This record gives sequence, structure tokens and C-alpha cells, in this order.
Amino acid sequence: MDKSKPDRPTSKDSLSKRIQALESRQNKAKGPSPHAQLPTNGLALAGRVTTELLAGLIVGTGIGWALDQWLNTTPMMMVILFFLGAAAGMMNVWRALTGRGMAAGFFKESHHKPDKRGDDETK
Amino acid sequence: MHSPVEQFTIKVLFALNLFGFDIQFTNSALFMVLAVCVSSAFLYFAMRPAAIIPGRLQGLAEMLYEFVADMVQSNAGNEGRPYFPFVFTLFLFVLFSNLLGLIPYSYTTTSQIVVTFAMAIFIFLGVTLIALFKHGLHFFSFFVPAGAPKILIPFLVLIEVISYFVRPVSLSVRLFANMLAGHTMLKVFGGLAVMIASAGGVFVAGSILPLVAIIGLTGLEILVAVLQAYVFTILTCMYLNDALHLH
Repeated sequence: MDKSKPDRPTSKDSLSKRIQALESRQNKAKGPSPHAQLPTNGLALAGRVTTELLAGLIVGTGIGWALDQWLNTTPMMMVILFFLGAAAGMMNVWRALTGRGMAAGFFKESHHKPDKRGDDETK
Repeated sequence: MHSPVEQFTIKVLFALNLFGFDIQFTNSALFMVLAVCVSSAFLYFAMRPAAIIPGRLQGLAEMLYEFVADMVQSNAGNEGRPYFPFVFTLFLFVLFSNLLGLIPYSYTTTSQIVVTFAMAIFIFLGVTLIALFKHGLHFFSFFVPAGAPKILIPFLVLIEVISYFVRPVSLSVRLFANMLAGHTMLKVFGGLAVMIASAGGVFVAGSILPLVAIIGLTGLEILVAVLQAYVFTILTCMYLNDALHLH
């Protein structure tokens, strides 16, 4: 028999206290992870990379075209925003692949857990 | 011979004229209503026994609930909990639209960019408004990458703004393209089987090959239907997380 087990509380009061303690512990443990990531299954990842690249180009060019119509600068804004859109698409792909989630900017590397690929290289 | 994209044509089932608005009830609209009805009916009848020890159907409903609840919790944290009903509804709607579309002679609403983009743009606007109400003008610091060299900041802010506006597009295009491509592929293989068989003689036996391919592809399509509903929902949670906790 395991004697190190905590004795079971019988009163209702202490039980609800224990439930509260458990819940607060769970809530603490289950905060949002800084690197929430999509499933890295090959099919999903391939689809994700393609759509991110394409959507970046479409949105960039679209905004450029709209600005051109507004400011009468055809085709300057469209050309500039085409490249910016491509850059945004690539940045989104980089974020998706490095598991940086969707947030903008750089993370401190200490936050970043090394992924499986990195572990393999150190072996 | 039917074209493989003919399955996506919108047919008007009946036209209504309500208060001067021309409302056309299409086959797409019918399957949206069906998705809502089937998912609601499923949850209602599965949870009706409300047994402490769940049966199979109730177990399935509870699994769905806990799956989405866990997804919201782990991706958006405790602050994301108030938005759980929305995320759960969204997940069920997309899941059931995708799965209903796999039934032969049915219609896949999510294979229309209008439908997926409408959902995505509402998520995008909603999430942006939540962020604005919660953080005020501080929200715009979201576009300034931390730790970047000062000279690069104007350039990077531009890219960040564009990549923010990319969100609804990539969210909707991913779901729409997956459903469109999958259903077209199924139809192409189906058409191939008919074409080979119509050559007659020995070729009839050869039409078994595309038929076998269709069986495999249907399995794959079920996977894609569930996976894309999951991806759509988890991305919504991630956007919500960005809105609730600015870095």
C-alpha cells in the first residue's frame, strides 16, 4: 500500500478548495504558448506555404492598384506594392515554417524552443 | 460528357422578393441551411440523454466540444474563453459544410470563394475591432517589429501592414482552394472511368483503375474536409490570440 498518498478529504468544503486549487493550476499551465503552431503535416504545410505566397502577391498588387486609381500614379504604386506584397508573403511563410505563429516582429531566441530539425543536427 | 467544374454551378431554386430586396435561394444557400440544421440536430439529439456516462453519440458530441474548447484555451488562453461559442459554431459550420459536400449529388458551399471570404472578412474585422477596443491606439504597435534596426522600420511596417491584410485572403483561399481542387479531382477521375469504359471491349476492365483511385481519393477528401475545418478554426484562434495579447 502506498502510504505517501495524501489522505482523501471527506468534507465538502475542503473538496471544493482542492478543485479550486487544481483549476487555478490548470489555468496557469494552459496559457497561450508563444509559438502556437499549425499541424506540421506535409499536406497542410504545403497548402499553407502556397496560399501565403499567393495571397501576399494578390493583396499587395491589389492595394497598389487601388492606390494607383486613387492617386493617378499608374503604374508606380502597383509595381512597388507588388514587391512589398511578395516580401510580406515570404515573411508569412518564414513565420509559418519557424513556428513563430502569426505575431509580428522578432522573438527573443530564449523563448524559441528548438524544433525537431535542429535537434537532429546536433546529434 | 459533363465538365468536371459543372458541379460548382449555382442554381436558383426559388426567388423571393422581400421588401424590395431580390433574394434568390440557391443550391449553395440550401446546403448552408442544411449544414446549420444537421449540426444543430446532431448536437441536440446527441446531448438529449445528458447521461453522466455518455453513450457513443454523446461521447462524440462531447469530444467535439472538448476538442474546440481545448483549442481555444491553448491558442488564445483564458481571455479567449468568451469567444468559444463563436469559434465552436464556426468549426461546426465549416466541418459540416465540407462533409455534406462529400455526399454524392450534394453541393459544397465552402468551394465558393464568396462564402469562405465572407466568413474570413467578418473574422478579420471582428478580431481587429476586439484588438482596438481592448488596447486602443496601442494596437498599432503591433505593426512595429520589436528589435529591428531603426533604418528598416518604415519598410518593415509597410510589410507588416500588408501581411496583416493578407490574413483574410489566405484564410479564405486556403479553404476554398482545397475544397475546389479536391472535388474537381474526384470528378476528373470519375469522368476518366466513364471515358475508358465507353471505349468498350477490353477497356471496360481498365476502368477499374480510376475507380480504385476514386475510393482512395474519397478517403483523402474526408481527411482534407476535417483538416481544413480544423485549420480554419485554429487560425481564427491564433488571430484572436494576437488581438487579445499584443506582444
